[in-house]
Amino acid sequence: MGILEFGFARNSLLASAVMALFLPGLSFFIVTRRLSFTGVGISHSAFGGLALGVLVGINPLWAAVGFALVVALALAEAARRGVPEDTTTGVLFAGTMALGVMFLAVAGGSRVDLWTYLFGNILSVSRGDILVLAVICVACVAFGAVSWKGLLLSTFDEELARAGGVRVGLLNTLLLVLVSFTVVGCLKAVGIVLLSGLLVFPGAVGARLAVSCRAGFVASYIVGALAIFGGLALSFTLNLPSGASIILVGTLLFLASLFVRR
Amino acid sequence: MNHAVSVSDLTVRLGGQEVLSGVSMSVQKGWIAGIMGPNGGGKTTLLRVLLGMITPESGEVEVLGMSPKHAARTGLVGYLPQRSVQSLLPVTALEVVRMGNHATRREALEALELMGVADLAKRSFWRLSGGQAQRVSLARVVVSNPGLALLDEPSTGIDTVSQEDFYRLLLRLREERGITVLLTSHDVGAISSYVDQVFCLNVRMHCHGPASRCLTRERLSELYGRDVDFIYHPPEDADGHT
Repeated sequence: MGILEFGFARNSLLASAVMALFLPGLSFFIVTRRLSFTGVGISHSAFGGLALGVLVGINPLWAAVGFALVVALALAEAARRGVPEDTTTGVLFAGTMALGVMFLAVAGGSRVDLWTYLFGNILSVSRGDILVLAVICVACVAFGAVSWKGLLLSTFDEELARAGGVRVGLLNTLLLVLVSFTVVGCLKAVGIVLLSGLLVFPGAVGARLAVSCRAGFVASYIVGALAIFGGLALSFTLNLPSGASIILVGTLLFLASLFVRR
Repeated sequence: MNHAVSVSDLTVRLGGQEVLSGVSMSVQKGWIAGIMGPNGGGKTTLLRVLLGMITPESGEVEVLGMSPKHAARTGLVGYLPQRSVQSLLPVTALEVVRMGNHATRREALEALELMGVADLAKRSFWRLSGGQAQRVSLARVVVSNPGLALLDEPSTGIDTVSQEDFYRLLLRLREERGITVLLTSHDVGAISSYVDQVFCLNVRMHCHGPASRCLTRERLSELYGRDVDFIYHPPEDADGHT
């Protein structure tokens, strides 16, 4: 039975399987809707929340949820007022990181292992963490199933989608809210810094290699699964950090895709 | 009910500014009608009102005998927006035709066939030439058999030969499917050659009627607010030579 005799290994495999069920699909729409930098911004904004949790003595993950959610809603509102998402992201990214540094300075030294939240450790996820991931997974899959046509149409052409009665602003807001929940759900497994990669490379490779929507979506899932399970196998085999292994496999797949001619 | 579009005393205000003022117009069923006017003159806004995307401040609007929102919900109004920035979404020509409607694969292929581009069905939409992409987009408009097609600057960014092919396609659609077409354009030559009725719009309706009456130097100078001269461009051959 090998390493799977251990509970932590089974948990990490289960967490990987759940992440592989929804992260690549989310990534496909993040990339094709030009929200890659926004995804990076939302994931990094969670740092401010973690530090606030440390300062006031509440569960850092709850504080991170609040921060990521506020940033996601602020991005959606700013976009509605005509401010491009990347502009707002650039400001809030730095602002929430700065807040995090301030909170930690006031707290007078870290009382939690911030390293785990920044770079993640999938071997440390508990059954409770997996349950949270599963709930987020169900929410993402349900959102995708209900909004599939509207998501595709508004990604292709927003004007056409609006004319067809698609509530583009609402879709964008819901997508960003799901990203913020995803960030917090994956914090322990992959970490703030590394998660931004996982939100981008499956969709980036899928969109680059495929000619059709369907093929692009499927390719994103294949790339996501290869990176997650390949990285985990690498981590188990060579005793390397799990989050970094997953992201490095994904990065290599992305770089390799640049040399593929369509 | 003989009109596909009927607008009476329409006023639209956006961001505190009057974009359309007291506009009245009607488009008969089976017409190909063109709206001309300067940028910012309200052409796209008028199309958006007809699609039910903008609620006017005042005035009466009927599309195929219904309110614009009701007409849009029935799927009887096809829309081709201005060409937008290339999306990162990988998408084939066939997928484009099936976007935002309930068309089956077979119906989509038939629409591409009608436009003469069925062989492009599996090609990436973003790798098509301007003329090919417009034919695919028009296939998306006609696939749901609309009574009215609203086309926003459909000939922008495509070469003269492709433009002529495109307008001939519109004539064919009118003949074979009875589709009424209302399009916006800056192209005086195309408008005067292919449309039944011209509407000259710059916030208010300056003139409407046959092209021969509306597209005169005096009328266009008044519409654009400055002197307008016509420059005659001899038609290009297939190789682009004049």
